[in-house]
Amino acid sequence: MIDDQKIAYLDNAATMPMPDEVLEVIDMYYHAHKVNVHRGMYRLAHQVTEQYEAVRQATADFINAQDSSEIIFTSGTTDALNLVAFGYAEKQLQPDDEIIISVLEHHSNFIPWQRVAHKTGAKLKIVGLDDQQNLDMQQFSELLTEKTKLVAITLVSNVLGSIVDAKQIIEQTHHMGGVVVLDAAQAVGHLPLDVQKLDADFLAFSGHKMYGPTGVGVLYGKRNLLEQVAPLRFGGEMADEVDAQTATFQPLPLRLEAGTPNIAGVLGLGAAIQYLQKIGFTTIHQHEQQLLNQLYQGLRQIPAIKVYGPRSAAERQGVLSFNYGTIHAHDVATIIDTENVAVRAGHMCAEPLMQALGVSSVVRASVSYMNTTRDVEQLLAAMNQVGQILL
Amino acid sequence: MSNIQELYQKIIVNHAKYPIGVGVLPQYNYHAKLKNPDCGDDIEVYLKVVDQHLEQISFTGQGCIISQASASMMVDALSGKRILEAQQLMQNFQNLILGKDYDESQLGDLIAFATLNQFPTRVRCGMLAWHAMADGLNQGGISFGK
Ligand SMILES: Cc1ncc(COP(=O)(O)O)c(C=O)c1O
Repeated sequence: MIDDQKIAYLDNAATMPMPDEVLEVIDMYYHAHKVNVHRGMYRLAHQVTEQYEAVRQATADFINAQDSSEIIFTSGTTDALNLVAFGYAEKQLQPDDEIIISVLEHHSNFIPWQRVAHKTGAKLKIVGLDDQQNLDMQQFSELLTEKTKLVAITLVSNVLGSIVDAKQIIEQTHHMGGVVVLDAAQAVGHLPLDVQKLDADFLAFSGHKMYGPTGVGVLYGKRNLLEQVAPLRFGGEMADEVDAQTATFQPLPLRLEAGTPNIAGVLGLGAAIQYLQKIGFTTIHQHEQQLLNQLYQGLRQIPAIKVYGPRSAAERQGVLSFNYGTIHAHDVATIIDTENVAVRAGHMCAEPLMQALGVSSVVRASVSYMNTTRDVEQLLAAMNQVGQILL
Repeated sequence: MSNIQELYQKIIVNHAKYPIGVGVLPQYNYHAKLKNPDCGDDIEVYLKVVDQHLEQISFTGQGCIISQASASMMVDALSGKRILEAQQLMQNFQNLILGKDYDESQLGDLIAFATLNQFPTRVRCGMLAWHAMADGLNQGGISFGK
């Protein structure tokens, strides 16, 4: 078996580890408090419901939403983006309307919009990269018209780590009367988010990419927009009054949260938010920048290695993707895996971006606050092994 | 030799570097393209079948060392073989890389893949070209199996 004590885990962009304080909260719920929310008459049910709703408030504060009813708990980013796509956009868009997304998008912020465009007859336009491999803002301005009803864009690329100028995109889109959906999956564990300052209309993220558990995520929406989101799921929790033929629904946020939610997940998300707030994004950022710098400088010593995306660590968050000469990313990953280094290799669920970069796959190393300089050293040492075995 | 050194031994790396049978056959009558969804790599295999024989085989596409070397060795091993023999060899090779019982005497150079079963995430790479070949024959009405 694999000795996980020695693994240099550098696949944090896929999912981040959980600190003890998060694990304890989840454990406590399952061991001692496992009751349902929003329905029990006994005190424990009331207490857990209060904890659950307190996480909604904490999440609202964490991203500076105006009101906790603007926070919808989902199963993750993918779920949240699908809710906006099919609960909102599909109902709003007409043939001839336009949707803009970018070549940077993860498949989960790409395919739903393809489907919406297909179902509504709206046109899907895709912003590419400029010669620095950043989002081509010039092209974005050109694609944006009065027909643009919706722009869906990532805040941080899961492949390049580059940060998108969301504020600029939102300003311009609002000017044209469109709505902006932000995919914050790769941002939320690295950067402070302020939805009011950004003036974001919708924003989605996952708990497991911010030191929380899998199976929980958040859709933030401005109150007036969330009011226009139709539920995609019907059942308990979201119903208000039900008779034989009809039903009325709860107000936000419960209207969009049918069924028993992921209670342990939400409580774990709350603990993860506390963890992030305790350490603080300034400290996290400094630590991760140091690791990325070390990684970048180390990889640069191997002339055959080509790094994608921004040159300086300061322009990226958490992620660094590269290829070793013409060696396939899978071969690199397999060899360094035998040195107990865990990285991702492949298309990263971003095939349109791979096409834009002119590669079929890349090796991606991604860091979190829990990594140490040792992990990076282990990766760099393992890279020499690649050369020894294959060159 | 460690497992990893054995996996990337010279014969495999050389087959990947200088593959046999790259290109599109001028007169193929069966072909299929197969994609490995894990990495996005794809391989397209072209076959010229005459009288129940795989008279010629070629392939195109990009991939890792494992998938390229396996494709190259497949062309080498199967060109001119009867379909029945090809079926048996594929089964035997599949057994090898899944860690099941195999018949070494038939495998020739393919035995180089003996440690692939230690790398379960890469088994798909090793079978990609073979499965593309099987798809091409199956889709063309020759029941080849997989
Ligand atoms: C940029 C981006 N968006 C969306 C997702 C999807 O997140 P999840 O699988 O948690 O729904 C990911 C996960 O890899 C991502 O990196």
